[in-house]
Amino acid sequence: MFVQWCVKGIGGNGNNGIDEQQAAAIVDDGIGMLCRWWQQAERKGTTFVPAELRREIRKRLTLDKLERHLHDYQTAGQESAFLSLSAGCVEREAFLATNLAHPARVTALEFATHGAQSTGYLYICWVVVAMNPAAEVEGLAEEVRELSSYRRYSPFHAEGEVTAKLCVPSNQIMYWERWTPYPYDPADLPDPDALPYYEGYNGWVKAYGPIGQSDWVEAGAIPIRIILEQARVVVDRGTPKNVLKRERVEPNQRDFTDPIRILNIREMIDDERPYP
Amino acid sequence: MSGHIPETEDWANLLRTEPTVIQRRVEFFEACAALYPERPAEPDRADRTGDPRASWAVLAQRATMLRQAGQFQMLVELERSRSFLLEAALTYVKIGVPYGYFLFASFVSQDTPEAILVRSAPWLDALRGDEETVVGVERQQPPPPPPWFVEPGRPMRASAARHPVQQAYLMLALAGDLQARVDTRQAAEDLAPLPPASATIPIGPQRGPIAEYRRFASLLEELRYLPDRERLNPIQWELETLLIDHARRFEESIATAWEDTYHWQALRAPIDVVDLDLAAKAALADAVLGQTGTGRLEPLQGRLETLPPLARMPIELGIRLKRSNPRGPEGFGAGPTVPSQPPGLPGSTIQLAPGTFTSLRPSM
Repeated sequence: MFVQWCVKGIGGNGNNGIDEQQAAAIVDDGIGMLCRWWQQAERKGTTFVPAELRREIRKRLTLDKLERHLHDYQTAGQESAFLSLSAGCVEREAFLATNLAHPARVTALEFATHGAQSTGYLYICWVVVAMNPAAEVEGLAEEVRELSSYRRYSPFHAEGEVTAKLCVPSNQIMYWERWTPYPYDPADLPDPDALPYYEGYNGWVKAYGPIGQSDWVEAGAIPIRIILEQARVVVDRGTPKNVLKRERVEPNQRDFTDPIRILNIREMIDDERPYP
Repeated sequence: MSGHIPETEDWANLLRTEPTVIQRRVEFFEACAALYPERPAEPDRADRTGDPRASWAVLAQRATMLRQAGQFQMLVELERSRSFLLEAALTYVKIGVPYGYFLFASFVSQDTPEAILVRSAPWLDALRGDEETVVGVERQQPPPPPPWFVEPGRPMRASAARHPVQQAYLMLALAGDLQARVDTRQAAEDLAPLPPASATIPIGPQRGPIAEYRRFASLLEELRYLPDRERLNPIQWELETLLIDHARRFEESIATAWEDTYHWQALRAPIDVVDLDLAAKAALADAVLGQTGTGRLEPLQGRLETLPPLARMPIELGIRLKRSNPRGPEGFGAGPTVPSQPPGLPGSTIQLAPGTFTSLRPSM
């Protein structure tokens, strides 16, 4: 068994999801991330007798129910005891075989921001995964492969989904982030010639290198390209585009348990690593 | 191209989705590409984890996002799709992955400044096994200056071109790149022969057998260099057969994805909505057939016409993208739409006035 770093995307307000307060409560109130079945129960105010709860859990943690969670979420999702996390797959062999890298964060962002359309929340967490399928074992998360229906993944690697069961406790969440899409038009950027802010930059910059060389700089959070043109630097504003901005990062200061104390670590594969 | 030209709504209808949903996918992947800006690897990060993978992984992720954006954009507008795919191709090339050359040869080609960079990539050195010239590892003589995209500590490089899947893409690119100024026949001989047991290695979005891709490449090769008119029809017949087989598998994958309505409503199913390999193979075949002067590959005539419209879609899109390519030498400057650094120009830097902006380059 090993510890797997994962990321979970949860939609924000614009996406029928949670608001900022609820997003914070997942960690700050020790609620953790719940499966849809428990979320629904919470919403309806359902209470469980322990024996009854145990029976229900046994009924819901089966390979068949896991299949339904993965492939028939529309009908089975609301009552599912599973919750999907993303761990990514950027293994070299898999990349060469498929030409596709699957960063965990992108998968999570896709669901959280509704495809860069609205605000969403990302939770960076860890779960324990077994080498073999164990859908019925409560304490373990499942490394899921979807090779039967989706063929573009390398047959030797998981495509990135890790399925947790019932909940991810708050002490396994290291931090959470708020992401917001900003469709922006470069025409809205301030005029570099008009603003003192840009003085000493446009045309004044000490520059080395061949003509035509360019570099990206960040004006606020928005990247713009500058090009060295005859001993002078010009700004290339580019075309309108969408950017996703990480607006807030909140570490779990309440009760985080560092898994490094417990087990060997297998890192989540993504541009950003959980350990600074 | 003869026949009617389908509009975006037609493609969307065929795929049982909406043009706005397609557009959103483009926007999403465009935003994601910007999350992985092309820049030198951050040395501290690579050092900290001791994992040289970190340096290429960012580019691999960027290439993937651009490829995805280009794929969806193909259904909306071809020209913008080409700039995504060009940018993706250059990013793949930058980490030494021949798939980038394949994308380039299929959809961009022409004698653009980028073409020089893509073709100067020492693919063939890598295949001949002269790893030292590519990797620049320690040896008695000081190594020649490495090519522009090779930076110390990057692990992909030579071995990437030896991956059987990547070799198949390289074969296709070499066979179909009409502007390449290398003897592609010689190059094809340098490619490692495929061991018979490896013929069934899965390749492409449909995970078809690798032998099929290599067969397609050798047919293009033959078509290009064999002026024997007798062979022309059988070769075209076989090329079309391979395309038809591929197209039917593509259609099947879409039909499977439709079952999963939850993911399909936002086009999130993990399949290729336009099979880029199929589109690229059709584009290459069309170009090579065109060069023989005996006709083109007509998706709306002959055997290809018998395919259902959905199966035929990538073929049509690929050929349209190839034929509509306006990028000649005058096309230079029609740059990509996502932040990137142009390739080439090794070792050059721009020094910014300190404190004016935050440079995205960590070392500056």
